[in-house]
Amino acid sequence: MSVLLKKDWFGLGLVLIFGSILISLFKPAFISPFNLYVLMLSVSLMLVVAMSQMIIIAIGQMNLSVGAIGGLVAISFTGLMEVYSMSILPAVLIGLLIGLACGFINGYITVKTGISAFIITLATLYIFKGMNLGITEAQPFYEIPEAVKFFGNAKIFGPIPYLVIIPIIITVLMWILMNRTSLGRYMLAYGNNVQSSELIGISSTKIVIYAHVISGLLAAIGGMLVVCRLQLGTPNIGDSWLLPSFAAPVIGGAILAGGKVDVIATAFGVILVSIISQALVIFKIDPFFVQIFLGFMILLAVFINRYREYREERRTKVFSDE
Amino acid sequence: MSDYILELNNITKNFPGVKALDNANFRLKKKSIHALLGENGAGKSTLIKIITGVYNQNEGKLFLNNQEKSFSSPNEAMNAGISVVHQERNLIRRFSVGENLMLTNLPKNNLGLIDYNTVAKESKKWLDIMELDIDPNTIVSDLTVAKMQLCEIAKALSLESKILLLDEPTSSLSPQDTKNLFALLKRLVAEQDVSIVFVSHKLEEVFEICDEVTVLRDGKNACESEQITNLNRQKLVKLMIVEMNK
Repeated sequence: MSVLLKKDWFGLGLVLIFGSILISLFKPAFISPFNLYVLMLSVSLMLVVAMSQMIIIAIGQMNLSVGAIGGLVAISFTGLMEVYSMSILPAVLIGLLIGLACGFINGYITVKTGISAFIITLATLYIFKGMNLGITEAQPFYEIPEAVKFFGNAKIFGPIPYLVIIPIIITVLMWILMNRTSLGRYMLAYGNNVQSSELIGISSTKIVIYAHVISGLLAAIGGMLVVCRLQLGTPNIGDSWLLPSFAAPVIGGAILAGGKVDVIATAFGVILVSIISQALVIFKIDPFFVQIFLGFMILLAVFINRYREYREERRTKVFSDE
Repeated sequence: MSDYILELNNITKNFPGVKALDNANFRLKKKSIHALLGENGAGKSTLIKIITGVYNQNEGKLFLNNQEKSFSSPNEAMNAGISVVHQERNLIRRFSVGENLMLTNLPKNNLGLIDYNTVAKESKKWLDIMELDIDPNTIVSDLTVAKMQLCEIAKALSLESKILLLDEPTSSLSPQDTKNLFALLKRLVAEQDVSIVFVSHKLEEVFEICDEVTVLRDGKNACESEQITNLNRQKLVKLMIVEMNK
């Protein structure tokens, strides 16, 4: 039990369960099949976006261009299918390649210049977004193959949408990456302490580039999943990703200085944010307030994480004074 | 063949405007504990950084096991069996003790995934050698500073290091922890075929634990590989202190 209590996901899981029960007691509509279906769609899309940011937080950096990559890939994916009548699979592959390239550019420039990823991705955000607007002239692509539309809106059974499949696979793979592979552990080691991880022989160049490439790939997948869901490719896909992309990992206990992320807790963070957003709608609170709420939740989570870190540091100091 | 594991001959290192080392010599005997002393700015840390591949010397040669070597990075020196034990700086604080010990070579299962049971088992082996009563699954940040430092040494051993450089290892330890550390160091030298370079300001510690002493003053040898039995506290202080009023 005490082991469980130490895990970030455990407390969050309890909050989720009791919160859901509470909401459904007041508003039984919350657990209606339709509502669960909508909830799962929103969780699925945000899960991929949150993982895309989480892996950059793991190495102690930020990726402001997550949404811009997602948007650029979304319109490239739809544009290839509409304008060049490309079939789905090659369009997906090119979409992934664009995400990979964007991530590589972010990682390569960051690690070679030593400039903070915050600044680099702020710049590439505008570059990727500008390319998006240049290609589309701010007009959406509507010609989407039926299979894509089906994938984004049909249900496997009950309220469960097909759209959950890929995010669930990604979450499992991300858990394995961060917990059971050298690459993932080295990313966390790098996020913990750049100097000592270099001394162990971990290559900064490799770690930073891999993290950004994976982040770019996930953002690309997120962009394409949104296309499936919306059944069109609009240039503003990804515009609203930034805040939730940080909210979920941070609510899940991630420390922005790096070295600590929890995949399960991040997934729970996504679910929590989705449930709260939906509860606000169900309780007929103006949807514009959702963002205010999200902002406050990030602040609260950051305060809690900071407080924990502070306690950890103080304990070590006490020991060293003896 | 000499019985020195590490030899530095006539090392000179220039920094813009300063000669940090001027024809300095340093010889480490196999299975000995060798004190490296000197005031601040005498060139101790420069010498250590040359041994560990952080800096390259301008002149002079470095021999490891009678072979000339030049390390271009700390990683290269580490692979050659030279480890610096800092206070706790090289541990990943949020990882377990076991994972820290095994980090350069994490054991994998058939699927290529990290096998944490083997991590715990393998790292326990090194903790046992050091007679350390630490559960390998403990998170490093939960340890006391003294234990962190002992884990650093365990990590160096797990890397098959034959030369340990201990830089002011007792500065944050209690007297009891210091005693335990010294007992451990003596045992390592006797049983594990390890040689130790010991940097400290505390002279009583030097007399307690070291076999030989090298003193640096203004980048030069004030004495080189002197037997500790030939020295006393007064003589050592005299060697270290720059004579101001001459």
